Amino acid sequence: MPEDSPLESLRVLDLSLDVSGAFCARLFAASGADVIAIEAPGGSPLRSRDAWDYLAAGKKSLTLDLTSEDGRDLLRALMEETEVIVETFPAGHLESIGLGFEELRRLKRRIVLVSLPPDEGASAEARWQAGLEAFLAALASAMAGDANDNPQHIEISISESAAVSAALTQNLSPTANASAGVPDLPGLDDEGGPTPAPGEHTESILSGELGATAAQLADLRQRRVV
Amino acid sequence: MYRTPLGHIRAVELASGVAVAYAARLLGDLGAEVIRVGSGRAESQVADANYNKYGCSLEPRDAESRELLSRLLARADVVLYEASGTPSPDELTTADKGLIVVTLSGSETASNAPAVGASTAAQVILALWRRRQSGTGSQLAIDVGAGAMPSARPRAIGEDGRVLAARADGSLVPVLPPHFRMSENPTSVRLPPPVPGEHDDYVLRGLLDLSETTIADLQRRGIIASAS
Repeated sequence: MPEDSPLESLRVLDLSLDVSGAFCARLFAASGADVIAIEAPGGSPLRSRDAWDYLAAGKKSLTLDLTSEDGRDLLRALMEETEVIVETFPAGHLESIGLGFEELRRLKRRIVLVSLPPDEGASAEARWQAGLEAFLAALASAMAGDANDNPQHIEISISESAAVSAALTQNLSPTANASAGVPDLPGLDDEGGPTPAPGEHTESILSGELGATAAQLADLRQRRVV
Repeated sequence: MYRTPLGHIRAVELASGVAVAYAARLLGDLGAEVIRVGSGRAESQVADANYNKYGCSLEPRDAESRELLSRLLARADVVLYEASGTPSPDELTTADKGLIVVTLSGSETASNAPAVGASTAAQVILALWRRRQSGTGSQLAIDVGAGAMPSARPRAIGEDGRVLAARADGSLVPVLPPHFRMSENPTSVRLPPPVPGEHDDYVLRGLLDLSETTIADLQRRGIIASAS
Protein backbone atom coordinates (compact mmCIF):
# COMPACT_ATOMS: atom_id res chain seq x y z
CA MET A 1 0.00 0.00 0.00
CA PRO A 2 1.45 3.37 -0.95
CA GLU A 3 2.67 5.26 2.12
CA ASP A 4 1.65 8.67 0.88
CA SER A 5 -1.70 7.66 -0.52
CA PRO A 6 -4.15 10.52 -0.92
CA LEU A 7 -6.86 7.96 -0.23
CA GLU A 8 -5.74 7.32 3.35
CA SER A 9 -8.72 9.10 4.83
CA LEU A 10 -11.22 7.72 2.32
CA ARG A 11 -13.60 5.03 3.51
CA VAL A 12 -15.24 2.68 1.04
CA LEU A 13 -18.12 0.29 1.80
CA ASP A 14 -18.11 -2.75 -0.45
CA LEU A 15 -21.56 -4.33 -0.71
CA SER A 16 -20.63 -6.31 -3.84
CA LEU A 17 -21.97 -9.74 -4.63
CA ASP A 18 -20.25 -9.77 -8.02
CA VAL A 19 -16.64 -9.67 -9.22
CA SER A 20 -17.20 -6.30 -10.94
CA GLY A 21 -17.91 -4.36 -7.76
CA ALA A 22 -15.53 -6.39 -5.60
CA PHE A 23 -12.74 -5.56 -8.05
CA CYS A 24 -13.66 -1.87 -8.02
CA ALA A 25 -13.41 -1.89 -4.21
CA ARG A 26 -10.19 -3.94 -4.36
CA LEU A 27 -8.60 -1.19 -6.46
CA PHE A 28 -9.57 1.34 -3.80
CA ALA A 29 -7.91 -0.90 -1.16
CA ALA A 30 -4.77 -1.24 -3.30
CA SER A 31 -4.65 2.54 -3.62
CA GLY A 32 -4.69 3.08 0.13
CA ALA A 33 -8.37 3.57 1.00
CA ASP A 34 -9.99 2.01 4.07
CA VAL A 35 -12.28 -0.58 2.48
CA ILE A 36 -14.88 -2.48 4.47
CA ALA A 37 -16.43 -5.50 2.76
CA ILE A 38 -19.90 -6.19 4.11
CA GLU A 39 -20.83 -9.85 4.07
CA ALA A 40 -23.92 -11.76 5.11
CA PRO A 41 -23.31 -13.60 8.41
CA GLY A 42 -22.69 -16.79 6.42
CA GLY A 43 -19.93 -15.09 4.39
CA SER A 44 -19.91 -13.54 0.91
CA PRO A 45 -20.96 -15.78 -2.00
CA LEU A 46 -17.73 -14.59 -3.67
CA ARG A 47 -15.70 -16.53 -1.09
CA SER A 48 -16.15 -19.69 -3.14
CA ARG A 49 -14.46 -18.08 -6.16
CA ASP A 50 -10.84 -18.76 -7.04
CA ALA A 51 -10.24 -15.02 -7.22
CA TRP A 52 -11.52 -14.37 -3.67
CA ASP A 53 -8.07 -14.05 -2.07
CA TYR A 54 -7.19 -11.47 -4.68
CA LEU A 55 -10.51 -9.64 -4.49
CA ALA A 56 -10.55 -9.40 -0.68
CA ALA A 57 -6.89 -8.55 -0.15
CA GLY A 58 -6.44 -5.46 1.98
CA LYS A 59 -10.14 -5.15 2.87
CA LYS A 60 -11.73 -5.39 6.28
CA SER A 61 -14.69 -7.68 6.76
CA LEU A 62 -17.89 -6.84 8.59
CA THR A 63 -20.77 -9.30 8.73
CA LEU A 64 -24.23 -7.80 8.63
CA ASP A 65 -27.61 -9.31 7.93
CA LEU A 66 -29.17 -6.77 5.56
CA THR A 67 -32.46 -8.66 5.52
CA SER A 68 -33.03 -7.52 9.12
CA GLU A 69 -34.13 -4.04 10.14
CA ASP A 70 -31.28 -3.86 12.67
CA GLY A 71 -28.73 -4.80 10.04
CA ARG A 72 -30.01 -2.07 7.75
CA ASP A 73 -29.91 0.47 10.57
CA LEU A 74 -26.27 -0.39 11.24
CA LEU A 75 -25.49 -0.08 7.53
CA ARG A 76 -27.20 3.31 7.40
CA ALA A 77 -25.13 4.49 10.37
CA LEU A 78 -21.97 3.23 8.71
CA MET A 79 -22.87 4.96 5.43
CA GLU A 80 -22.72 8.27 7.28
CA GLU A 81 -19.04 7.57 7.98
CA THR A 82 -18.30 6.66 4.37
CA GLU A 83 -17.24 8.50 1.21
CA VAL A 84 -17.76 5.76 -1.40
CA ILE A 85 -20.26 2.87 -1.57
CA VAL A 86 -19.95 0.11 -4.17
CA GLU A 87 -22.91 -2.18 -4.84
CA THR A 88 -23.94 -4.80 -7.39
CA PHE A 89 -27.57 -5.40 -6.41
CA PRO A 90 -30.27 -5.55 -9.08
CA ALA A 91 -31.42 -2.02 -9.96
CA GLY A 92 -33.86 -0.76 -7.36
CA HIS A 93 -32.84 -3.15 -4.57
CA LEU A 94 -31.20 -0.51 -2.36
CA GLU A 95 -34.29 1.69 -2.73
CA SER A 96 -36.50 -1.24 -1.72
CA ILE A 97 -34.65 -1.56 1.60
CA GLY A 98 -34.72 2.20 2.19
CA LEU A 99 -31.05 2.83 1.35
CA GLY A 100 -31.26 4.12 -2.21
CA PHE A 101 -29.47 7.15 -3.59
CA GLU A 102 -32.23 9.56 -2.59
CA GLU A 103 -31.97 8.32 0.99
CA LEU A 104 -28.16 8.68 0.92
CA ARG A 105 -28.57 12.21 -0.35
CA ARG A 106 -30.49 13.05 2.81
CA LEU A 107 -27.89 11.34 5.01
CA LYS A 108 -24.78 12.93 3.69
CA ARG A 109 -23.45 15.50 1.25
CA ARG A 110 -20.10 14.08 0.34
CA ILE A 111 -20.75 10.57 -0.90
CA VAL A 112 -20.31 8.62 -4.13
CA LEU A 113 -22.59 5.64 -4.81
CA VAL A 114 -21.30 3.24 -7.46
CA SER A 115 -23.83 0.82 -8.96
CA LEU A 116 -22.89 -2.10 -11.19
CA PRO A 117 -26.19 -3.92 -11.76
CA PRO A 118 -25.76 -7.66 -12.38
CA ASP A 119 -25.54 -8.95 -15.93
CA GLU A 120 -25.78 -12.71 -16.03
CA GLY A 121 -24.54 -13.07 -19.58
CA ALA A 122 -21.39 -10.99 -19.07
CA SER A 123 -17.97 -12.52 -19.63
CA ALA A 124 -15.42 -12.53 -16.83
CA GLU A 125 -13.32 -10.04 -18.77
CA ALA A 126 -16.26 -7.63 -19.09
CA ARG A 127 -16.90 -7.75 -15.32
CA TRP A 128 -13.28 -6.93 -14.47
CA GLN A 129 -13.18 -4.13 -17.06
CA ALA A 130 -16.44 -2.59 -15.81
CA GLY A 131 -15.08 -2.73 -12.24
CA LEU A 132 -11.92 -0.93 -13.34
CA GLU A 133 -13.92 1.77 -15.13
CA ALA A 134 -16.22 2.15 -12.11
CA PHE A 135 -13.10 2.68 -9.99
CA LEU A 136 -11.76 5.50 -12.12
CA ALA A 137 -15.10 7.32 -12.34
CA ALA A 138 -15.62 6.97 -8.57
CA LEU A 139 -12.06 8.06 -7.87
CA ALA A 140 -12.51 11.24 -9.90
CA SER A 141 -15.85 11.97 -8.22
CA ALA A 142 -14.46 11.35 -4.73
CA MET A 143 -11.54 13.66 -5.49
CA ALA A 144 -13.96 16.39 -6.59
CA GLY A 145 -16.18 15.59 -3.61
CA ASP A 146 -14.18 17.83 -1.30
CA ALA A 147 -15.36 20.81 -3.25
CA ASN A 148 -18.90 19.66 -3.87
CA ASP A 149 -22.16 19.92 -2.04
CA ASN A 150 -23.91 17.08 -3.79
CA PRO A 151 -23.49 13.34 -3.67
CA GLN A 152 -22.84 11.53 -6.94
CA HIS A 153 -24.43 8.33 -8.26
CA ILE A 154 -22.41 6.47 -10.88
CA GLU A 155 -24.07 3.64 -12.78
CA ILE A 156 -22.12 1.36 -15.08
CA SER A 157 -23.60 -1.21 -17.42
CA ILE A 158 -21.29 -4.21 -17.80
CA SER A 159 -22.62 -5.01 -21.28
CA GLU A 160 -22.11 -1.44 -22.48
CA SER A 161 -18.57 -1.51 -21.14
CA ALA A 162 -17.97 -4.75 -23.06
CA ALA A 163 -19.30 -3.16 -26.26
CA VAL A 164 -16.86 -0.27 -25.87
CA SER A 165 -13.94 -2.66 -25.35
CA ALA A 166 -14.94 -4.57 -28.48
CA ALA A 167 -15.14 -1.36 -30.51
CA LEU A 168 -11.72 -0.21 -29.29
CA THR A 169 -9.96 -3.44 -30.16
CA GLN A 170 -11.52 -4.29 -33.52
CA ASN A 171 -8.39 -3.22 -35.41
CA LEU A 172 -5.82 -4.67 -33.03
CA SER A 173 -4.18 -8.08 -33.32
CA PRO A 174 -5.70 -10.58 -30.90
CA THR A 175 -3.71 -11.84 -27.94
CA ALA A 176 -2.41 -15.39 -28.20
CA ASN A 177 -3.47 -16.45 -24.74
CA ALA A 178 -5.63 -14.63 -22.26
CA SER A 179 -4.47 -14.61 -18.67
CA ALA A 180 -6.36 -16.72 -16.17
CA GLY A 181 -7.50 -15.90 -12.65
CA VAL A 182 -6.87 -12.30 -11.76
CA PRO A 183 -6.07 -9.25 -13.88
CA ASP A 184 -2.55 -8.09 -14.50
CA LEU A 185 -2.72 -4.31 -14.34
CA PRO A 186 0.43 -2.30 -14.83
CA GLY A 187 1.03 0.06 -11.94
CA LEU A 188 -2.39 -0.09 -10.31
CA ASP A 189 -1.79 -3.15 -8.23
CA ASP A 190 0.17 -3.98 -5.14
CA GLU A 191 1.22 -7.01 -3.15
CA GLY A 192 -2.28 -7.11 -1.76
CA GLY A 193 -2.69 -7.60 1.94
CA PRO A 194 -4.23 -10.11 4.25
CA THR A 195 -7.54 -11.62 3.21
CA PRO A 196 -10.03 -11.17 6.07
CA ALA A 197 -12.00 -13.99 7.68
CA PRO A 198 -15.77 -13.38 7.54
CA GLY A 199 -16.59 -10.73 10.10
CA GLU A 200 -12.99 -10.42 11.27
CA HIS A 201 -13.39 -6.69 11.81
CA THR A 202 -16.99 -6.66 12.94
CA GLU A 203 -16.21 -5.72 16.54
CA SER A 204 -13.60 -3.11 15.80
CA ILE A 205 -15.84 -1.40 13.22
CA LEU A 206 -19.04 -1.47 15.24
CA SER A 207 -17.42 -0.36 18.47
CA GLY A 208 -14.79 1.90 16.90
CA GLU A 209 -16.91 3.64 14.26
CA LEU A 210 -20.41 3.36 15.62
CA GLY A 211 -19.71 3.32 19.34
CA ALA A 212 -21.48 0.01 20.01
CA THR A 213 -21.01 -1.35 23.53
CA ALA A 214 -19.97 -4.92 24.36
CA ALA A 215 -23.52 -5.68 25.47
CA GLN A 216 -24.96 -4.36 22.20
CA LEU A 217 -22.45 -6.42 20.22
CA ALA A 218 -23.36 -9.56 22.16
CA ASP A 219 -27.03 -8.88 21.52
CA LEU A 220 -26.45 -8.39 17.77
CA ARG A 221 -24.49 -11.63 17.62
CA GLN A 222 -27.09 -13.52 19.55
CA ARG A 223 -29.78 -12.35 17.14
CA ARG A 224 -27.44 -13.17 14.21
CA VAL A 225 -27.63 -9.60 12.84
CA VAL A 226 -23.81 -9.78 12.66
CA MET B 1 -23.68 23.01 -7.97
CA TYR B 2 -21.51 19.99 -8.67
CA ARG B 3 -18.01 20.57 -9.96
CA THR B 4 -17.23 18.29 -12.90
CA PRO B 5 -14.61 15.88 -11.52
CA LEU B 6 -11.81 16.87 -13.92
CA GLY B 7 -13.29 20.15 -15.14
CA HIS B 8 -10.16 22.15 -14.20
CA ILE B 9 -7.69 19.76 -15.87
CA ARG B 10 -6.05 20.01 -19.30
CA ALA B 11 -4.48 16.84 -20.73
CA VAL B 12 -2.34 16.53 -23.83
CA GLU B 13 -2.23 13.22 -25.70
CA LEU B 14 0.63 12.67 -28.11
CA ALA B 15 -1.33 10.45 -30.46
CA SER B 16 0.06 6.93 -30.75
CA GLY B 17 -1.89 3.74 -29.93
CA VAL B 18 -5.37 2.76 -28.73
CA ALA B 19 -4.52 2.48 -25.01
CA VAL B 20 -3.20 6.06 -24.82
CA ALA B 21 -6.16 7.30 -26.87
CA TYR B 22 -8.72 5.55 -24.64
CA ALA B 23 -7.06 6.77 -21.43
CA ALA B 24 -7.28 10.32 -22.76
CA ARG B 25 -10.91 9.90 -23.80
CA LEU B 26 -11.87 8.68 -20.33
CA LEU B 27 -10.28 11.81 -18.84
CA GLY B 28 -12.33 13.81 -21.35
CA ASP B 29 -15.52 11.98 -20.34
CA LEU B 30 -14.87 13.08 -16.76
CA GLY B 31 -14.61 16.70 -17.83
CA ALA B 32 -10.93 17.28 -18.63
CA GLU B 33 -10.02 19.34 -21.68
CA VAL B 34 -8.10 16.86 -23.82
CA ILE B 35 -5.94 17.88 -26.78
CA ARG B 36 -4.89 15.08 -29.12
CA VAL B 37 -1.67 16.14 -30.84
CA GLY B 38 -0.76 14.47 -34.13
CA SER B 39 -2.60 11.66 -35.85
CA GLY B 40 -1.22 8.49 -34.24
CA ARG B 41 -1.21 4.99 -35.66
CA ALA B 42 -4.11 4.03 -37.90
CA GLU B 43 -5.68 1.64 -35.39
CA SER B 44 -5.76 4.40 -32.75
CA GLN B 45 -8.02 6.55 -34.90
CA VAL B 46 -11.09 4.51 -33.92
CA ALA B 47 -13.89 6.97 -33.13
CA ASP B 48 -14.78 5.37 -29.78
CA ALA B 49 -11.32 6.13 -28.40
CA ASN B 50 -11.26 9.72 -29.59
CA TYR B 51 -14.34 11.75 -28.83
CA ASN B 52 -14.35 14.46 -26.16
CA LYS B 53 -11.03 15.78 -27.46
CA TYR B 54 -9.65 18.65 -29.47
CA GLY B 55 -7.40 17.75 -32.38
CA CYS B 56 -4.15 19.54 -33.17
CA SER B 57 -2.09 18.55 -36.20
CA LEU B 58 1.32 19.39 -34.75
CA GLU B 59 3.70 16.43 -35.20
CA PRO B 60 6.47 16.85 -32.60
CA ARG B 61 9.43 15.83 -34.77
CA ASP B 62 11.81 18.74 -35.08
CA ALA B 63 13.11 21.42 -32.71
CA GLU B 64 10.53 23.99 -33.71
CA SER B 65 7.50 21.77 -33.30
CA ARG B 66 8.86 20.51 -29.98
CA GLU B 67 9.22 24.07 -28.78
CA LEU B 68 5.54 24.64 -29.58
CA LEU B 69 4.70 21.41 -27.79
CA SER B 70 6.61 22.42 -24.67
CA ARG B 71 4.73 25.72 -24.66
CA LEU B 72 1.49 23.77 -24.84
CA LEU B 73 2.65 21.48 -22.01
CA ALA B 74 3.38 24.52 -19.86
CA ARG B 75 -0.39 25.12 -20.00
CA ALA B 76 -1.26 21.47 -19.35
CA ASP B 77 -1.60 19.29 -16.24
CA VAL B 78 -1.09 15.89 -17.83
CA VAL B 79 0.71 14.55 -20.89
CA LEU B 80 0.29 10.99 -22.14
CA TYR B 81 2.41 9.29 -24.79
CA GLU B 82 4.31 6.19 -25.79
CA ALA B 83 7.90 5.91 -24.58
CA SER B 84 9.11 4.80 -28.00
CA GLY B 85 8.16 8.18 -29.40
CA THR B 86 9.71 11.57 -28.78
CA PRO B 87 10.38 13.61 -26.74
CA SER B 88 11.80 11.84 -23.70
CA PRO B 89 10.16 12.21 -20.26
CA ASP B 90 13.17 14.22 -19.02
CA GLU B 91 12.70 16.80 -21.72
CA LEU B 92 9.06 17.17 -20.78
CA THR B 93 9.34 17.54 -17.00
CA THR B 94 11.79 20.41 -17.12
CA ALA B 95 9.00 22.50 -18.57
CA ASP B 96 6.72 22.28 -15.56
CA LYS B 97 7.21 20.88 -12.05
CA GLY B 98 3.50 20.20 -11.68
CA LEU B 99 3.16 18.25 -14.89
CA ILE B 100 2.07 14.61 -14.68
CA VAL B 101 3.98 12.72 -17.34
CA VAL B 102 2.59 9.35 -18.35
CA THR B 103 4.59 7.09 -20.65
CA LEU B 104 3.46 3.74 -21.97
CA SER B 105 5.89 1.15 -23.22
CA GLY B 106 5.50 -2.32 -24.68
CA SER B 107 3.10 -3.68 -27.22
CA GLU B 108 -0.64 -3.42 -27.08
CA THR B 109 -2.89 -6.23 -28.14
CA ALA B 110 -6.62 -6.54 -28.56
CA SER B 111 -7.27 -7.85 -25.07
CA ASN B 112 -5.16 -5.39 -23.13
CA ALA B 113 -5.86 -2.00 -24.73
CA PRO B 114 -9.12 -1.27 -22.82
CA ALA B 115 -7.62 -2.47 -19.51
CA VAL B 116 -4.39 -0.50 -19.98
CA GLY B 117 -6.29 2.60 -21.10
CA ALA B 118 -8.65 2.54 -18.12
CA SER B 119 -5.94 1.74 -15.56
CA THR B 120 -3.78 4.52 -17.02
CA ALA B 121 -6.64 7.00 -16.61
CA ALA B 122 -7.14 5.83 -13.01
CA GLN B 123 -3.45 6.35 -12.27
CA VAL B 124 -3.61 9.84 -13.72
CA ILE B 125 -6.45 10.67 -11.31
CA LEU B 126 -4.44 9.27 -8.38
CA ALA B 127 -1.47 11.38 -9.47
CA LEU B 128 -3.69 14.49 -9.71
CA TRP B 129 -4.94 13.81 -6.21
CA ARG B 130 -1.38 13.42 -4.93
CA ARG B 131 -0.36 16.60 -6.71
CA ARG B 132 -3.13 18.51 -4.98
CA GLN B 133 -1.56 17.51 -1.66
CA SER B 134 2.11 17.80 -2.57
CA GLY B 135 2.05 20.46 -5.26
CA THR B 136 4.34 18.42 -7.48
CA GLY B 137 3.64 16.32 -10.54
CA SER B 138 4.97 12.86 -11.15
CA GLN B 139 6.15 10.48 -13.82
CA LEU B 140 4.20 7.32 -14.42
CA ALA B 141 5.83 4.62 -16.53
CA ILE B 142 3.28 2.03 -17.55
CA ASP B 143 4.13 -1.29 -19.15
CA VAL B 144 1.55 -2.04 -21.80
CA GLY B 145 2.82 -5.61 -21.94
CA ALA B 146 0.89 -6.26 -18.76
CA GLY B 147 -2.73 -5.25 -18.54
CA ALA B 148 -4.72 -8.31 -19.42
CA MET B 149 -8.11 -9.10 -17.95
CA PRO B 150 -8.83 -12.76 -17.22
CA SER B 151 -10.43 -15.10 -19.76
CA ALA B 152 -11.28 -13.01 -22.76
CA ARG B 153 -14.30 -14.00 -24.78
CA PRO B 154 -14.82 -12.34 -28.14
CA ARG B 155 -17.98 -10.35 -28.48
CA ALA B 156 -19.82 -9.13 -31.51
CA ILE B 157 -19.85 -5.40 -31.95
CA GLY B 158 -23.46 -4.30 -31.96
CA GLU B 159 -24.69 -1.19 -33.67
CA ASP B 160 -27.20 -0.65 -30.90
CA GLY B 161 -26.65 2.12 -28.45
CA ARG B 162 -24.56 4.26 -30.77
CA VAL B 163 -25.14 7.99 -30.93
CA LEU B 164 -24.21 10.24 -33.84
CA ALA B 165 -21.61 12.88 -33.05
CA ALA B 166 -21.74 15.77 -35.52
CA ARG B 167 -18.50 17.23 -36.83
CA ALA B 168 -18.20 20.88 -37.79
CA ASP B 169 -18.46 19.96 -41.49
CA GLY B 170 -21.83 18.33 -40.85
CA SER B 171 -20.62 14.72 -41.13
CA LEU B 172 -21.89 12.31 -38.48
CA VAL B 173 -19.73 9.83 -36.60
CA PRO B 174 -21.45 6.93 -34.78
CA VAL B 175 -19.94 6.31 -31.33
CA LEU B 176 -20.90 4.43 -28.17
CA PRO B 177 -21.52 7.16 -25.57
CA PRO B 178 -19.71 7.08 -22.19
CA HIS B 179 -20.97 3.98 -20.41
CA PHE B 180 -20.88 5.38 -16.91
CA ARG B 181 -23.84 7.53 -15.97
CA MET B 182 -23.27 10.14 -13.31
CA SER B 183 -26.17 11.73 -11.47
CA GLU B 184 -24.67 15.16 -10.87
CA ASN B 185 -22.75 15.84 -14.06
CA PRO B 186 -24.01 13.55 -16.79
CA THR B 187 -21.29 12.25 -19.08
CA SER B 188 -21.89 12.83 -22.77
CA VAL B 189 -20.27 13.08 -26.16
CA ARG B 190 -19.33 16.78 -25.97
CA LEU B 191 -16.92 16.76 -28.89
CA PRO B 192 -16.87 14.43 -31.93
CA PRO B 193 -13.64 12.54 -32.68
CA PRO B 194 -11.45 15.28 -34.21
CA VAL B 195 -9.72 15.09 -37.53
CA PRO B 196 -6.05 16.04 -36.94
CA GLY B 197 -5.80 19.79 -37.00
CA GLU B 198 -9.51 20.44 -36.58
CA HIS B 199 -8.71 22.62 -33.56
CA ASP B 200 -5.31 23.99 -34.58
CA ASP B 201 -6.73 27.47 -34.34
CA TYR B 202 -8.06 26.93 -30.83
CA VAL B 203 -4.77 25.40 -29.64
CA LEU B 204 -2.21 27.54 -31.45
CA ARG B 205 -3.96 30.89 -31.44
CA GLY B 206 -6.21 30.46 -28.44
CA LEU B 207 -3.79 28.77 -26.05
CA LEU B 208 -0.35 29.65 -27.37
CA ASP B 209 -1.18 33.15 -28.64
CA LEU B 210 0.49 32.56 -32.00
CA SER B 211 -0.32 35.19 -34.63
CA GLU B 212 -2.18 34.36 -37.83
CA THR B 213 1.01 35.07 -39.75
CA THR B 214 2.97 32.60 -37.65
CA ILE B 215 0.27 29.95 -38.03
CA ALA B 216 0.17 30.47 -41.80
CA ASP B 217 3.95 30.11 -41.86
CA LEU B 218 3.77 26.84 -39.87
CA GLN B 219 1.19 25.59 -42.35
CA ARG B 220 3.27 26.59 -45.34
CA ARG B 221 6.30 24.73 -43.98
CA GLY B 222 4.26 21.60 -43.18
CA ILE B 223 4.80 21.77 -39.41
CA ILE B 224 1.05 21.74 -38.99
CA ALA B 225 -1.64 20.68 -41.44
CA SER B 226 -2.92 23.18 -43.99
CA ALA B 227 -6.16 24.93 -43.15
CA SER B 228 -9.11 22.92 -44.36
